[in-house]
Amino acid sequence: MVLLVTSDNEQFNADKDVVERSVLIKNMLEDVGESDQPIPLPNVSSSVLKKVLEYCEHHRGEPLPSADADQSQDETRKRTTDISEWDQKFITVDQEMLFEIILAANYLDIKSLLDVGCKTVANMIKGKTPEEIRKLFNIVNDFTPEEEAQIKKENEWAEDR
Amino acid sequence: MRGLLKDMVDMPMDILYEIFGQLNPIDLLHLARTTKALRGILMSRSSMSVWKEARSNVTGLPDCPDDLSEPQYAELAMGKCCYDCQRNLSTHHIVWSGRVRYCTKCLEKRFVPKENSFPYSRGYPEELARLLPSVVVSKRQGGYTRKKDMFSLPTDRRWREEYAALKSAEEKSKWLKERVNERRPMVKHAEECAVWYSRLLQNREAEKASIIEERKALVVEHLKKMGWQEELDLRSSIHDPPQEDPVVVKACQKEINERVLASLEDHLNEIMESLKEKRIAREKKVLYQDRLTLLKRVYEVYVETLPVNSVHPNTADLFSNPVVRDIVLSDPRSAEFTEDNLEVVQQSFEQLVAQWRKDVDTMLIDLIKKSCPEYEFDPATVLHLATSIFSCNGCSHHGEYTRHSSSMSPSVALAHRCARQMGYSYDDSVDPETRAAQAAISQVTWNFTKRIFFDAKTLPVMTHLVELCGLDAARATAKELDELDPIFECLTCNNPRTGRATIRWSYAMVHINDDHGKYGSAQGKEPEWVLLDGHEATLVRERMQENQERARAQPNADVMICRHCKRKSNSVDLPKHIKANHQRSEVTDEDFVVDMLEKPISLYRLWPPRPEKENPPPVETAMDTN
Repeated sequence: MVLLVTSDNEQFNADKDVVERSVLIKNMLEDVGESDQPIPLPNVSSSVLKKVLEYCEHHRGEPLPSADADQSQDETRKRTTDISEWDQKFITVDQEMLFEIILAANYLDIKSLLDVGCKTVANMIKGKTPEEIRKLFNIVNDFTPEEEAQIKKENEWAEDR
Repeated sequence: MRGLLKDMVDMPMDILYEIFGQLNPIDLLHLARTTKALRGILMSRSSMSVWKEARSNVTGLPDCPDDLSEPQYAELAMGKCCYDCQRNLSTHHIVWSGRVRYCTKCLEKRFVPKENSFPYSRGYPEELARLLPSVVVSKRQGGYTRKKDMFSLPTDRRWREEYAALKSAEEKSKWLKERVNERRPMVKHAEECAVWYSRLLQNREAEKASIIEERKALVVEHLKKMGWQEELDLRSSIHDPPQEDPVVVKACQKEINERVLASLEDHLNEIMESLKEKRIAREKKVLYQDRLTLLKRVYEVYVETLPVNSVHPNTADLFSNPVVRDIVLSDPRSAEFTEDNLEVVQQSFEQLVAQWRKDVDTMLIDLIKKSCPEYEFDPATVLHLATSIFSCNGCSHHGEYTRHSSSMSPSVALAHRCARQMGYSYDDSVDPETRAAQAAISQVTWNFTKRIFFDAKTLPVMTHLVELCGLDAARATAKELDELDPIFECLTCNNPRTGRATIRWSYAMVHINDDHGKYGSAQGKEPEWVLLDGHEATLVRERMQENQERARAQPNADVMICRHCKRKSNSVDLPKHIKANHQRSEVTDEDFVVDMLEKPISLYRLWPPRPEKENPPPVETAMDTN
């Protein structure tokens, strides 16, 4: 078992083969060797770690992408836009949590989770107009109407104007 | 809630690029138009790799051409708005070689159709004219698609002016080379883009069609949940699939969820009820086709045994009898239905025919009642009266009136052809069984289309004529009148050129409708009847008989019927037939009979005409004398 400590000082006990989905933790364990010392995770809150461990538990035993995986394998992983049913259900969280999971997956170096998070955000953006994207993510348009009209025209080719 | 996008700019760049790399170029363009911060990131040169990665997500899209930036290319290939009016219309035209997209209106401001002389006579070499920004515009007009090949007028003008301004051949050659080198790769790239776009549209259509099919399948599943599983299983796929109903197809253009399905339920039930009804009708038609065809065949064997001119029901009439109907429709699922099943019907043909006669007599009496509600008569004898003459609105324009007479057992009204004609109109009052049966054997019951009727104005006319003969119209029968064979004359229709209008008693209504009716020679005038005396009446009868016999001798007059084989022919050929085929050395009245449906010669123009009545001289007026 491995003891993890979150930014809000909560402790989590987890199986080694579960936490080793994180390349960061895996490397740390390899570096310190067998030890009862807790592993501090100052960038991850308890609520987020709970979700991350849920993900790692579900995917326990699946092959990890090897460190020297060639470019093409990585590309294939990225191109696959489909997200498995379980992952989809897992990642159906509010935007703040989604954002935190992505950051945690990046920090803990869990490529597959990062991938799921990024694809989810991408799927939310895909096919939407600028206004729809703003509405979806609750952000304010900081372009003036003149600027907005201008940026629409910036992309065009001036040949026949 | 903290906005994710607000935080995006603070995210590690590698995460941002990871997300951006999953998008399509048009999504990046839209992101770049959301906030200044994101625009700053995406439009910086360092984001070039993200644009390339995003472009690689679009299958088959040719590389970005040298003359366009990645965002420009994204806008051209995947944007939706017109480059001029900025409207997002359903129809737009991408001029790949001109790097623009316009709505039809804005395109037609700049692009004109290529005339027959194109690419010659443009004021610069045709080699370059072929490289003008061009687009083929398709427009659906009625049942066909009209295509217009158009080119950019501003570019054409500019090139013409530039070329004209050049003095030396050397300058012109240099200018041409530069333009061609600039345009050729653009046109080549444009061709690749056009191919990609065409495939994209095809794929989109296929994808859309496939999604619609999936949605239709959801509707079918819902129908099963609604309890229509059995009906769906019974249906053949070729017969109006419920999912192809226009309302369902329209609903399937959008996402199908529980709410949509619930809102469709009433309509789906209506469709299924209607389809079920149609399916049952189809099955019945097949059932009826088999069973009624068999009944028809068996009945026709019986009809052959009936005497010539006998009035009898047809198979549709027989089927309208509840006893026959029950037998024919018994055990509808059983495939086996043979003559044995019809044995009881076969044995009852005589009674069934008699029953039908009673039924149709009631129908005829009802026609009289309906037309003359005030007329008091004895139902037991009314059909025997000389005043009971029926009309047909199917052929009355030809002047054929039909007499119902009890002097003959077969009544003309019952045998009249129009009473058996199928109508074009759909009678809702007819039950589905009868409709299906009639469709299966192409027969209708007697007077199904209500062509035979009793004309209210018949009664006073016939009453008057009967009374002219010194008889009581309430008692005188058609048989008595036939035996008496009185000849009447309509004085109103006396004609100095054609003679006196003399008729048989049964022809009175035909004369009134033809000659005194609309378009008749005596239109609007009242007929004035007199009964001809013995000598003139005898003369007219002889002439009428002569004309009748002459008509029967005509080659196409199939009014004589062989009693031995029921063959119809004329009075010249039928005796030959009887001698040759029925071994008769002499042909007598016993060998043939006149068809009861023969149109009788009942009008004769007697000569000389009556003297014309003198019109009174016009009254002189004071003005005339002046």
